[in-house]
Amino acid sequence: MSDWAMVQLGEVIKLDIDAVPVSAGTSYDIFGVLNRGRGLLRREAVLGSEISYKTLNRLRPNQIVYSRLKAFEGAITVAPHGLGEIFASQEFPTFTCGERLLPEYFALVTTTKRLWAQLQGLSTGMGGRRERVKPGDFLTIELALPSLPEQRRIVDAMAAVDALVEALQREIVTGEAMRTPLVGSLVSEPESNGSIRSLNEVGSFIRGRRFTKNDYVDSGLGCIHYGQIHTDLGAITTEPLTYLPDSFRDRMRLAGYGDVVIAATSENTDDLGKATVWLGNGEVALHDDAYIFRHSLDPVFASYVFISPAFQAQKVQYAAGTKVTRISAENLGKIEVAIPGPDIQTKIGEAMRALDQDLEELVAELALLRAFRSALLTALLNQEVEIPESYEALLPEVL
Amino acid sequence: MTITQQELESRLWAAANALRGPVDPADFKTYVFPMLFWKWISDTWVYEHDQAVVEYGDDLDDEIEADFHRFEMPEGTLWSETTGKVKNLGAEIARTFQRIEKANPRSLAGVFGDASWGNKERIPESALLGLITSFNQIRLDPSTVSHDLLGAGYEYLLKNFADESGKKAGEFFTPREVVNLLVGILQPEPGESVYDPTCGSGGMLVATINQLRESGRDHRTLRLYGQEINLTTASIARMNLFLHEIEDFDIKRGDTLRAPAFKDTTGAVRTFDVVIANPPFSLSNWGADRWASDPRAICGVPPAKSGDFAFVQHMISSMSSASGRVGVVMPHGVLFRGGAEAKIRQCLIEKDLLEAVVGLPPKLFYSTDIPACLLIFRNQKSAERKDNVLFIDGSARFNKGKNQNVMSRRDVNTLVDAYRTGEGPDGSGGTEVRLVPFEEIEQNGFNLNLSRYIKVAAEETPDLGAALIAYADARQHRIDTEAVMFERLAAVGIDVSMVEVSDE
Repeated sequence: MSDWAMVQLGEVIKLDIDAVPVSAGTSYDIFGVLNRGRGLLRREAVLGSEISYKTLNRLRPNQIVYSRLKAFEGAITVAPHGLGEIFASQEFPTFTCGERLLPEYFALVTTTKRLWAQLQGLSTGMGGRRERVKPGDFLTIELALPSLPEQRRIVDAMAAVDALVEALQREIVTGEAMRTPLVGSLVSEPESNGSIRSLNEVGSFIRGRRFTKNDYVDSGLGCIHYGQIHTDLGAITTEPLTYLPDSFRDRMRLAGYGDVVIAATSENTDDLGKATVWLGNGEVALHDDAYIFRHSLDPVFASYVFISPAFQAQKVQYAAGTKVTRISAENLGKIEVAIPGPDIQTKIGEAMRALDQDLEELVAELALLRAFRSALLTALLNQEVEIPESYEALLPEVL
Repeated sequence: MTITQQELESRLWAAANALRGPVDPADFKTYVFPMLFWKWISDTWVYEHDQAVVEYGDDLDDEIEADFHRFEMPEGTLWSETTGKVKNLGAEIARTFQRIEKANPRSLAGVFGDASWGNKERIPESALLGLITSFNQIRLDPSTVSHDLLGAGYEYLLKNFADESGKKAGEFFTPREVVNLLVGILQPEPGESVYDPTCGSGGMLVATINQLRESGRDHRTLRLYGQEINLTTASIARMNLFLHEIEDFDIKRGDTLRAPAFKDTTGAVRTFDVVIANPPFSLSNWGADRWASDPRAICGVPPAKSGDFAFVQHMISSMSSASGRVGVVMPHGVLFRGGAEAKIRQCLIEKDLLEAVVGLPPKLFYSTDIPACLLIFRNQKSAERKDNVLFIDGSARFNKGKNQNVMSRRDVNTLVDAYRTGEGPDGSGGTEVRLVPFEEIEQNGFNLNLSRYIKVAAEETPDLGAALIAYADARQHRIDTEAVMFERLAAVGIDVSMVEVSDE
């Protein structure tokens, strides 16, 4: 086991600020730094005439950058390649790595809680808004520094894990993109003998009743808040996430087994009308920004009706509102969709449920992979796991 | 007295419809084509006989008369002679067909297929009579119906039978626009040999003839070869070529992958100028066990559950060394699937045999909704295409149809031009064309999915086929990435024995 030298950051990186004078007619691409080492945030381009600073810091690839203000939350990263020209205020100091530290290695360090804690310890000033990490203090941070070949091996091994994280994310995104066309294809199969019906013809919409987060209790009457439909619930729901006191039962509108619950409000049109079917025990109370769809269809199929291409295409014309978009019960009822016979409905519901279960498995796998990544990185940086020299065989020749 | 194409088509279709009810529409072709062919050779024989009589009068003897006839019709085998029989009509027809085949052993052996004419369960006498009555309305000799017209009528029936058969049609019918596109790209020349190893009803071979004929060149010097595993379909192909006035053709029946029928004197597969096919997609149980020692496995043995690269390699082995070119319809999976197929794909690219990848619109085929693609291989790529692969996205070149989408003649021509020039049509959306260098393909891990190289035209409404391809590619990429990660972790010294690495 090789001994890693303890160094202060100031020994291996140096402050390297490229301050560019702001000219009124030029447009500047502005960036920010996300907290918890999550990388850069691209903001909209700003005209020089609208910028109050005299100069802006230009960021080059491979440079370390942090936000003086948010460093205590871990707002630090290393700039990737292929950025183009991007700028930030003097609140974002930039540093260049010397030859003993690989930027890619330090990029891994920026994703560790240890570094965030060190940054937090360096924050000075009074009150959250005024806390800052000064560049001089930043350079005093101590780091156990592996040799360059060891850094390279760690970077390469972690890159393989990160590539899988990215590939898995991509698989989930493309899998989810398949849901709507798959419903469309299944209901339009010639064998499905579907007929086009308005939702009013196959069911009715009932608006929920108001409750607030202050009403929540640990157990009692299960309830569904419209926001949960957007963020937490899939196409099928069997357990409530929140509860109201049992005494609320009489003044609430309740969804029973097989009822579909639909978000009537959304921040964007895409998510408007997102639905889940209640297949749990007993009844759940529904928030007034959502509807209960009580219907004569196969329950699981009924839930997927709301992601069908026909529903998605028609809801747009009924979406109203500026800050948030809404759709009324009356308009929901006008939407026309293909409704196949009962057996086919069940089959379609089962097929879609299988796809969604597969996607849920992938999401769970991704969460576990991320946990593994974090554990592996910690082990590598603590020298709990040391990469043997034989690993070099996998690396391209380094000059 | 001649007949118009429309008249011929409607009468032929009416004849086929006499079977509706007792016979499954998917089986119409089994009965209608042999009857049509018999009627044609029979009417033609009578016509030739009349001509001989006019020319020789009383001097006509058997020897002279034989010179007038393309096919020999033994006594009692003419249409009018057999169809007049009252008892056991089906069995009589079967016997007639046997006698005709026996009398023309070189040209017509097996041409009528193996339909069970005598089985009244399969085809009741009433249906047979209906078929005969309808055909009685149509004279099919050269004075009434030209070869062109008859060939077109035959194609018309094939298309209609395909429409009626739904997904089963994939076995015998490739949409004509796909055929025309392939033929347009490969451009068979007069005097060349054309070979289709999964020739179905012969559509690809017929299209090569039509293309030369339409461009005013001599199609009769083409030599056409085909192999087909299904007996009925192979018969239909042979009748198809006869009706199109092709003399120099050879359709053999059998399993191309297990027992290729065309071999040279050394026992190797024979080579041809143009090799063209629409093989069954991702055929399982194709005979992988025998391929380990098969010289056609030039880049490796494809997986047992998917014969796509077996057909591709068979076709490459069958193209001549100088002018040889291959055009094949394939499912998109061949562009990015992993395991053994990835190795074969990489090897074919490294050998610089792959010239072009053409993405097709969705829902063109009877057998699947998923878009397919064309792979074009060439033994001698032009200088500017060496170490490059041409990508053409034709996915938006179609008009929506009820069950199937269709490509117009213009769509086909646009794609053929894009292939020839290597450039997209000016100012038109939809088609995108790009010549991609070897290095870029290598960087993509020899993944050939079109969307990696050109921006594939997106449809307005989300399309399942495109979504499925994107997902399948992402999933394959994840599997590959996973394998790399486990390799790295093992090298780090982490025990990954509890993980089963995904691979073939």
